[in-house]
Formats: sequence, structure tokens, C-alpha cells
Amino acid sequence: MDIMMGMGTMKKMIRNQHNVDDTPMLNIDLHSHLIPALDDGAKDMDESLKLLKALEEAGYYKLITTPHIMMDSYRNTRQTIMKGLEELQIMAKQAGLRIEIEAAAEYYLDDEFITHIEKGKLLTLSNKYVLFETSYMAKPLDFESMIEKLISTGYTPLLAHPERYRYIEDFELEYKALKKLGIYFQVNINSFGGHYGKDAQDKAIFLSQNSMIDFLGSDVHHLKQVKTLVAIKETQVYKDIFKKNLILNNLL
Amino acid sequence: MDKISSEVEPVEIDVQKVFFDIYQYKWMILLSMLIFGSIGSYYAYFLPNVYKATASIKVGVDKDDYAKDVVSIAMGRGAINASTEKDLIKSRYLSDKVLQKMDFREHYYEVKHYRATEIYKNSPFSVSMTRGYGILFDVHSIDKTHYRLMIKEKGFFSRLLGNTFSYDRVHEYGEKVHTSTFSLILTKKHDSYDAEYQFLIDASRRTFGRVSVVQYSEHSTILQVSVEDTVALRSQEYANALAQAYIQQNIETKTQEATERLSFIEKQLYSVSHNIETSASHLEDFREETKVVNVAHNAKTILARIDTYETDLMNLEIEEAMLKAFYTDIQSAKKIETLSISGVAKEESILAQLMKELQETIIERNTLRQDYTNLHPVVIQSTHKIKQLKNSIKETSYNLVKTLEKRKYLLTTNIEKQRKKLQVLPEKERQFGQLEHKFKMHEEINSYLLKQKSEAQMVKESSISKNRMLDLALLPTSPIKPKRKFIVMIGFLLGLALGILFAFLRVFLDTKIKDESDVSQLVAYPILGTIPHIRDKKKNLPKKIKVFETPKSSVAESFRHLRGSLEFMRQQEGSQIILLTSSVGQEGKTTLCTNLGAIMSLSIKRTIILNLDFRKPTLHTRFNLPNKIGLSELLNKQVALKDVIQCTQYPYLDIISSGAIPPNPSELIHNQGIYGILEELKTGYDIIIIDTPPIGLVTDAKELMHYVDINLYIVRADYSKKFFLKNLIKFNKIEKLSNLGLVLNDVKKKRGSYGYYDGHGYYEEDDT
Repeated sequence: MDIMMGMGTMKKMIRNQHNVDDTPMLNIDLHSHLIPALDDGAKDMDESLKLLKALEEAGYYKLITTPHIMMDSYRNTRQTIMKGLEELQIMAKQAGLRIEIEAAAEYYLDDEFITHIEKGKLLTLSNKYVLFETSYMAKPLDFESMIEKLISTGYTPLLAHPERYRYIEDFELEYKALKKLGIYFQVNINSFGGHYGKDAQDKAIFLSQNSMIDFLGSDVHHLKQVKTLVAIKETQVYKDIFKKNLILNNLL
Repeated sequence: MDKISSEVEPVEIDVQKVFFDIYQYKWMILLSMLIFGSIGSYYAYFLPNVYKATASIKVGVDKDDYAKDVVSIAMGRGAINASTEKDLIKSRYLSDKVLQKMDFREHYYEVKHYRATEIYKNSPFSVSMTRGYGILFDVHSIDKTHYRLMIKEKGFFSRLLGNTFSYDRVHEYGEKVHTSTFSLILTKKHDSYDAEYQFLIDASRRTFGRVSVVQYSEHSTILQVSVEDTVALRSQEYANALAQAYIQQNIETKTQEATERLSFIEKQLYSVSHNIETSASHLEDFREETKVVNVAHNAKTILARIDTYETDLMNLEIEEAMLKAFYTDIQSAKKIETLSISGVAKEESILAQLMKELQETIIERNTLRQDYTNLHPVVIQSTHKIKQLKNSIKETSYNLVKTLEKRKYLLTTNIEKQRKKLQVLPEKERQFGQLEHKFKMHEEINSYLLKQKSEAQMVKESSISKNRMLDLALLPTSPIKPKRKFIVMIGFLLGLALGILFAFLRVFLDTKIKDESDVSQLVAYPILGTIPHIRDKKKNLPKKIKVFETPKSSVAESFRHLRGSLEFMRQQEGSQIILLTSSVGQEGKTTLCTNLGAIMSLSIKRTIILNLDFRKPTLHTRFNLPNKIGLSELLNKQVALKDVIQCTQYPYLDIISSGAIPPNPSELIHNQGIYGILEELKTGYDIIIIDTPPIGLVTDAKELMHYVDINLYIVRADYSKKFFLKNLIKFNKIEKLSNLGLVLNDVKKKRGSYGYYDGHGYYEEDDT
């Protein structure tokens, strides 16, 4: 199955080499795990710098990296993230990298998320969007109330990789319901290549065809993901995203 | 929770589930299709082509007005019956006739791409042989004058004959090759390509191919004679030869009958002409002697009457002689049906009818015998009828002879009466009358016989058959058999069917629990969690705690989900005691304990894991902690609680190991001290997890199960048997636990409404 898919994409890639490429470049990324040792992304500064270099070569000039904030595993705060960002920026400059690095966070919808909203300022993208995720297995019971709370506080909810949640079964119905709540969607580019499995790929294509994508993210944790990212950007499926969706990345 | 019934009504087969179950065996089904498809292809490849050649014959059928024709009476066989003719064409008698003319004993083959094709007359050489019949020879052409002759040792025929003779030598064309086994000369007909040939010569002429005769409709007089054979030319030759042989035999039969009749008439004529001569000279002598010229009118009348009577008598005698000959034949001959009744009985006589009926019945029986054995009731009935008919014929002909004798007697007495009247006449006159009368009578008989003779001669000389050839068989251009695509397709379909059948059996005979639907079909307890398969990269090292190792992995996610479910089921505030058990060992109890503890501790819940499974003290190894003292010592009140609590390397997570393996594990669990310990632990911990022995083995922990807040029963996919759950139902019928939940562990694949997933590509860490 995968081999056939691979052949299909290869053919498409070859076919498209001669086309006039009018696909806009994605210069800004808003979802990655690049600050060393904060989460399951880059383990150390060395890996972080390698990732930055690879992303710069891939054509990005600005990265808003988003460490996990998760009650039970990655108890990051504004302070830990900003400290890590500063170190990374310094090291990147020393390594001669010109890529611009900012930081926000990827919030996990758990019991503590409400406290985060109540306690103080959340880490945002463009002072507006709050990137969040949920469990892949089950939708949190108080999902709707947390989103309402977020919006009423003045934030714009931005759901990270909506294609990766297994609990979504009725694509049409459930994604529309989420949209209706006022949630923006950030789809992982790698999902289009089957990197997260067939189910995530199907859902990503569904979202693309139904013009539901607002942002595209790299969700880079390690170097392999950058490589697949570059490959997918050559495919027709990727190019089709821009025909059907208004991608807001470059406005950040 | 309280209202949950433990048993589920047996549900009807879920078509979608069955489809997915079968789908899992797709490669096996595909393989089975390939195997059977290739068997079919192999078979189809080596199956020789069969050609069919068809010749048409127009069969002459007697019509009513035609029946009185001399020629057809001479045939004497009644109307032509299409089924008789069909049987005749298929008979061995006719095929033997054909084989006498055509020699089909030589078989030449060309071997190309491992396939031997019979080439018949296209062979580049011919063989004359005196010995070596039935042996398959291999011939390789070497150059224009030489060839290589081989008999392969493991040839089919040599093996069949039990000899292991093999031969391999180069010879010249035309050279006499003489060995102990064979003696032959190979003569070159034309140059051959660089190919392999084989030949085989049958010891005797044998029938071959498949002969079929088709009549278009019931009343059609056209028969189609078809021959199927592996060589196109041979099928054509055979079909034509067979059709011609049929027409030929028709003429022959007719001629033979006429000959028999002719010889009989000639015998009669001989004696009659002798009588004429004698009576003529007697008359002459008497005339000279007596000078009587005119016989009195009275005597003339009497003599004329005697004359008529005696002619009749003579005719009767001939008829009687013929009938008697026929009767003798009947007595001696076994095959009554082949006897001719021409001249014996008239067409419409009873005897003729009986003969006709007999012939038809015999044909009918022959037809039946092709389908049934001799013991079949229909055949027995037919045989019985034939016997009866034969007896009737014998009786009838016997009666006919008797009737003739009676008629003869009557005629003779009449003649005697007339003679007595004549005796009263003057002597000379009377004598003359008698002589004249005798002469006339003999003359009449003679003319009758001569007429008969000329008729018979006409029949004999005529070589015109009522049957004639309509169409000669053409050389078939394309084979009618085998239908290769069809055979290959059958192979594939058979493979598919058997593959699916096998998959079905595998699915239905599988007693292991495979997925959530298997569980929910058997029991109605809630499934609180589904834990995916945890891949162990290093088998020998102590197992690591996956939740700590990779907090964003699918395994950690599944435990997070389980934590949520447990939180949801919480009945009261405060500490929660969770008991884990399973049916047998190896279902992942310890792994579940540690990972559940891990996910609890990660959410800042003070957690402690107790190992009450004294028989299997492995909990501490997961944390690299010692097991010097533990629960067994604590329960025996050898140590205090604070001495046995061990802190792990992770915050908020402590354990109490099992301690030394006690001599009496069951008793130790029943020790009421455990409740005191648990109450004490409640003050310091939010979550207390207890690892207990499998209840399938010992039900030591059942008392404890009533005490705890929640019981987690672990089922391992593709490992736990379905009957484990049935046992659980039985167990709970007695125990009536309301706080029982299931955890399905080690799920490798999950069936979703949209395909499959396993761990692959699902979470980031799975890609690395």
C-alpha cells in the first residue's frame, strides 16, 4: 500500500518538475519542538542547532517554536521556555545561522489548562493564537467549556494537528463542530505524506479538500521529519492545499 | 455500574467484522490463488490441443411406397433407424475396418518448450521397426546425415515395464539399429530444424480419439460424424475414413444377403430344370408310342386342376424348404437378429414384424449398455424382452412350418382325389394327361425361379447405397479444446475459494481474544482501557517503564486515557485503591501496574504500588530496587510499614515489594493485616495500586476485591483465551463485584471504521 503510494507521489513529483511553480513559499513555521531538553523534541543544543540549520536550508526564515506544556510530563512555564529560547538564540547566532527564532507553546488540554488561563498570560502566536492539543485517544470531557473560556478571555484557539486525533470518526460532522466553536486548524505538513499513518493522511486530505486548514506546521521533533517535510513540499497534494485553503502562516 | 449484567446475548455474525477477519489473511488467500492458478496454468500448458473434424452423411430412409421396391425388400431389414446407424458408426466393427486401411500406429512428437506435440505426418523422419514397440525414443538431429537416438532411463514406459534400459548413441539415417531391446531403421524425410523429437510405435492398431455422431433433429436424415484428436490432420483422415467405411459396409451387407439368396435359388433351379428335362422326354416318348394327340376334354379339365394344385404344392415346398432352413438357422444360430428373412416371410407377416421388433430391442439394449451395467433393471428388462422375442420367433416359425405342412397335406390329398378321377378315364388318355401336366408344372416353377434369380442378381450387382457422403471432413484449423483461459481461471477461483475457506476456519476456530469486539461480545463489563503493544527493543534488559521513557508515546497516551476512565469511575473523594488481576500469568499485570503508577505519579498524585503476587516478585526489578524486605515480612509483623516503603527514582511514586517468597502465599493474602496497612497507606497516598495473583489460578484475593475501589481485570490480545472471560462471568456470579473493569492489553492492531493502524507512524517516537 505504502509502496504504491510512494510510486504515485514519485510520478507526480517528476511530472511537476517542469510546471511553472506558483505555490507560495512557506517562510514562517509556527509549530516545532526545537528548544533543547524541554520536551520530547531536541535532546541537546547540538541537535537543536542541526534542526535549525536544516530548517533554514528548507527555506524558512522565521520559526515560532512551541514546547509542550503538559501537566503530567512536561511542566514547562513561560520562564523555562523563554530562558531556553534565549540560549538557543545566542547559540544559533554563534553558529552563524540567520534564521529568526521566537517561542510560544503547545498546550495540552488537561486539568491544569484552566488554571493556566486563569493564572495569567498564555504564550501566544502573534499575541492572538493559543496553540493547543488534546489526547489522541479521547476527547477531553470538558473540551467545549475550556474552548469557551479561552475565547472569552480574549484568545483565539488554534488546534494543533486536528488530523491526528483518533477520536474523530465522522470527519464532516466533527470538524465542522470544532470550526463552529471558533477553533482555527493547524495541519502538519508531514501528515500529507503518511508520516503519522494512513488515518491522519486521510483526515489531512479531507481538511485540505474542504478548505478547513488555516495554518501549516512542521511539528519538527527530530531531523528525519525535516527531510520528509522537504519531500512533501514537492508533491501535488501539497500544492493543492494552497488552491483550496487560505494559509495564514506568512501573516505571523 | 450496579446494573450491568455480566453476560451478553449471543449476537449474530457481524459481516464487517468477518470481512476484516478474513482480510487479515489476504496474503495467504493471494498465495493460495497463485498456487492454484499456477497449477491450472501448468496443467493448461501441458494439455495437448484437441482438434475436431466432421464429415456429413446423408442416410437413405425407407418410405412407405418405396418399401415394395425389389431392392429394398432384398434389404429385408425394415426401415432405417437413425439410432441404429449412430451405433453402427461408433461400433468397434467399423473402427476395426478403418484401422485395417489406415495405419495410425506411428506417433511422432516435436518437443518444444518442454511440451511434446504430436506432429504425425510432419515428422522429418520415418521409422520402420521390427522390435521395440511401445518404447518412447528421443531423437536429436545432429547434422544432415546423423542423429542421436536416446531412451531415457526413467521413461514412463521403461518404468512401467520394470526395466531400466537406457540408450544414447549417434547413428546415421537409413542405418539399421539393432539391439537386444529394439531393432529399427530411421529414414530421413526432410531436413529438420534444430529441435528435439520423440517417437513411439504401438504394438497393435488401436482405436483412439473420440467419435461422436450427431443427428441434427429427430427426423433429419443427415448424420454428422466427428472425430476429436490431438492431431488435426489425423482427425480429418479418420473422420473421412469412418464415413466411407460406413457407406461401404452398407453395400457389403446388401450384397451378402443377395448372394445367399441367389445360391439358394440356383440350387432349386438345378433340380427343377432336371425335372423339366425328364418330364419333357417322358411326354415325347409317350406321344411316339401311343400317337395320342388329343386328350379328351374331360381329362383335360381334371389335369388342368391337378396342374394348378401341383404348382401350388411346388411353391409350398420351396417356401417350406426356405422356412425350414431359416428354422434350422434359428435353432443353431446365436444371433437370430442377423438372419435374413427375405423370401421366408413377407414384409407385413408376423414373423417379419417380430424380427423388426427384435432388432430394435437389441439396438435399444446396446444403447442402454453404454450408460448402465448389465445388472441395471432397465437392461435386465430389455434382455428379458429379447429372450421373449426370440422364443416368439422360434415358435412362430415352427407354427409356420406346421401350417405349411398342413397346407401341403391338403393339396396332396386334393391331387390324389383328382388322380383317382383320372384313373377312371381311358388308360392312354389319362397317362398322356398326366405327363403333359407334369411338364407344364415344371415349366411354371422354372420360370418363377428364374424371375427370382434375376432379381437377386440385380441386387447383388448393384453397388449403389442409399447412404451417401454429403460433406468430407475439412482439416480443422483451430483446436476446440482445451479451454486454457478457462482452466487457469478455474484454478484461480479454486485458490480463492480454498483460501477464503481456510481463513474462515482459522477465524472461527481461533479461541483467542483479538480485539475489543471479541471482549464486548462475551462480557458486558466496561473496557476501561486499551493498551497498545509495547515494543521491547532489548529483550534481555529489565523492562523499562514506557510512560516515563516516552511520555508522548501511544502507550503513554493509552495510560492517560485509562487514568481518565478511572477518574471518571471514582465513587468518592479521597484515596483510590486499584486492584489488578488477570486470568493467568503473562498477561501484563506487572507492566500495567508500573505504567499505571507512572501515569498517576506524573499527574502529581502520590502513588504507591503493592506487590501482593508473592509467587512472582518482579515489581521491584522494574525500578532497580531490592526486595530484601517487603509485604510478606510486613504481614508477618516482622517489620513496620515505613521500613518496607521504597521510594523510586521518580517523584510521587513509591512501591512495596513482595518480600521473601513465603511458604504459604494464600494464607498471607488472607491475613487481615492487609486492611490495616491499606487504611494506613490511604492517609499518605492518593492512589494505591495492588498487584495480585491471577484469579484463574488462585482466588486468594477475592476478599480483597470486595474491599478495593476498583478491580482491573487484564486481558491480553492474541494471548488470553475466550473461555477466560466465561470463567470470569462464573466467578462474578458468585462474587457479584460491581466495581469490575477490563483492560485489553498488548493490542497490535485495531480495527477502526476506516482501516487499520498499529503503532507505526502514529506517534513521533515510533518513527525514530
